[in-house]
Amino acid sequence: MKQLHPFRVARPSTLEGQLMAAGNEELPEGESMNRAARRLGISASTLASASVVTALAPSASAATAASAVTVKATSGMILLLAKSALIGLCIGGVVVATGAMFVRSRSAETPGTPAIRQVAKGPASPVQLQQNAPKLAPLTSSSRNVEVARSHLSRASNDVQGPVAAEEDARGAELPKAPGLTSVASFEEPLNIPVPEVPNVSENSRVPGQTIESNAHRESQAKRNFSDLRLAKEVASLDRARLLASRGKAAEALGELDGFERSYGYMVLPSEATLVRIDVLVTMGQSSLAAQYARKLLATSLPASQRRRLEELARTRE
Amino acid sequence: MINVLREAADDMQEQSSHGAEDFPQLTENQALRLASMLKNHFDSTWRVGRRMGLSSAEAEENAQEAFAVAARKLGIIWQGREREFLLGVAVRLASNTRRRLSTRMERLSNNQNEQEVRDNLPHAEELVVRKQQRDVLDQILQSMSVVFREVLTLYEIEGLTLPEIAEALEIPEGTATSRLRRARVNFCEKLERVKKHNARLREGT
Repeated sequence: MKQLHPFRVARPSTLEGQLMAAGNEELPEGESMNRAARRLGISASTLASASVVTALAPSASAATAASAVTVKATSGMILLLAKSALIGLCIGGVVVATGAMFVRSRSAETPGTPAIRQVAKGPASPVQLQQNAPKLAPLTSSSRNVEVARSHLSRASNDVQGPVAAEEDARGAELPKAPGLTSVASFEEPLNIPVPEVPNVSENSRVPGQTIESNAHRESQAKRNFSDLRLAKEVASLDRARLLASRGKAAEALGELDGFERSYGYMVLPSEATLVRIDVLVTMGQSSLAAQYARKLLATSLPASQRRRLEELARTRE
Repeated sequence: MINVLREAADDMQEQSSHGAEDFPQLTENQALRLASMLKNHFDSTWRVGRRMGLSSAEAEENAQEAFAVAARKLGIIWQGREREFLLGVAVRLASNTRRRLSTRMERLSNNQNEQEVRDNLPHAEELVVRKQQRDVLDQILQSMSVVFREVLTLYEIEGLTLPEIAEALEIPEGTATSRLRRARVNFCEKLERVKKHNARLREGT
């Protein structure tokens, strides 16, 4: 419906607007109101005091309007705050959820980080290994990798059913009987990690090519079947191997790698395992075999620094 | 409220015809309220009488009667609705008065207007123009029906809103709106006729 406006407001310049304005401007005589007041019995003093009432009325209405505006503004502010809080909660929830997912993913990667970092430094010389031994021990024993691995393994022993768990339990029960590992447990804080039995494998019986190929295959398979339990076990195995190597027990370190490779396989950290193996082989003086592993490893994707060192190793041993 | 207004207007006219006025004894607050109403709305009440076709003196009498009604019905007038009540009573009273004294009113109105024009002659030309415009306005309004004149006066001149007019006249708001639309069209048509008439007069002179 079209809104109506008075002529004198909508069309003040037209004749009808001027007529209406003229009609609105007409006023009675000055004494008319006083005469009406006298007829109504209103005294002059009351009429004079009415001006005060009149003057107060607009302020009262203004105060009322101000209070109404204040109430409206307050309710509007409360509504706005409520909306903001709701939006903030939603955004906060999304951020927290995203952060939790990120932290969880990071924590899944974290157990392997020190070991990977250590492995990624490349093959170290026996002298370096001896020098870094005191640093490696706390790194492997006191880091939360061990705690995470312990928690994962204990959870796995409790939750996981099937032949694998049974096999792990059996291996864990056999652990104290392994003579080579007793010395490891002596300088590392006691771990309830099931350590695979270290077989006495000769160098001739091992086929490096087959191992690396199976590693590549398992690496691709591991990307599909990534799990914290697997990562923790591999990290623990690599830490043990590096620790043994740092203690000068290269044969035991190699046995640790071979045993774990044969029993479980390095599915998540195959490259790191190969690097540790190369280090151990270099320590043992088997440079040609180390170079063979290096060439195989160079076929896969590696960081530039690792690749450079492995290339040097492969060239020198060719 | 319409019944209250009609009864009040009839009572007032009956009392006026008998020459007896019996105002209730007002308390101090009631007197103050009535005085405030007088100060704020006497001009509008008087103007409504004028636009409804009453002379200046008749409009003053009409306004006094409207306030007398308000004094009796002060208890039922809502706070903040005094203007609607007063203008509604004034419109009713003016309609009744004009209907009753139509012939005499026209004669008095013409004489009064001539007298007022003469009284205003010493004033500035603008005031004379305004006065002439008011004469044209009153002439057009008096030629319109009462229902149109009521809504047009209250809306166009006194500035009441349509809900206020509906409340003052005790009619539905839709009725007030339709009346106002038709009144505006009627007013414009009559104004065009006045313009053409004046143009013919100027051409004749």
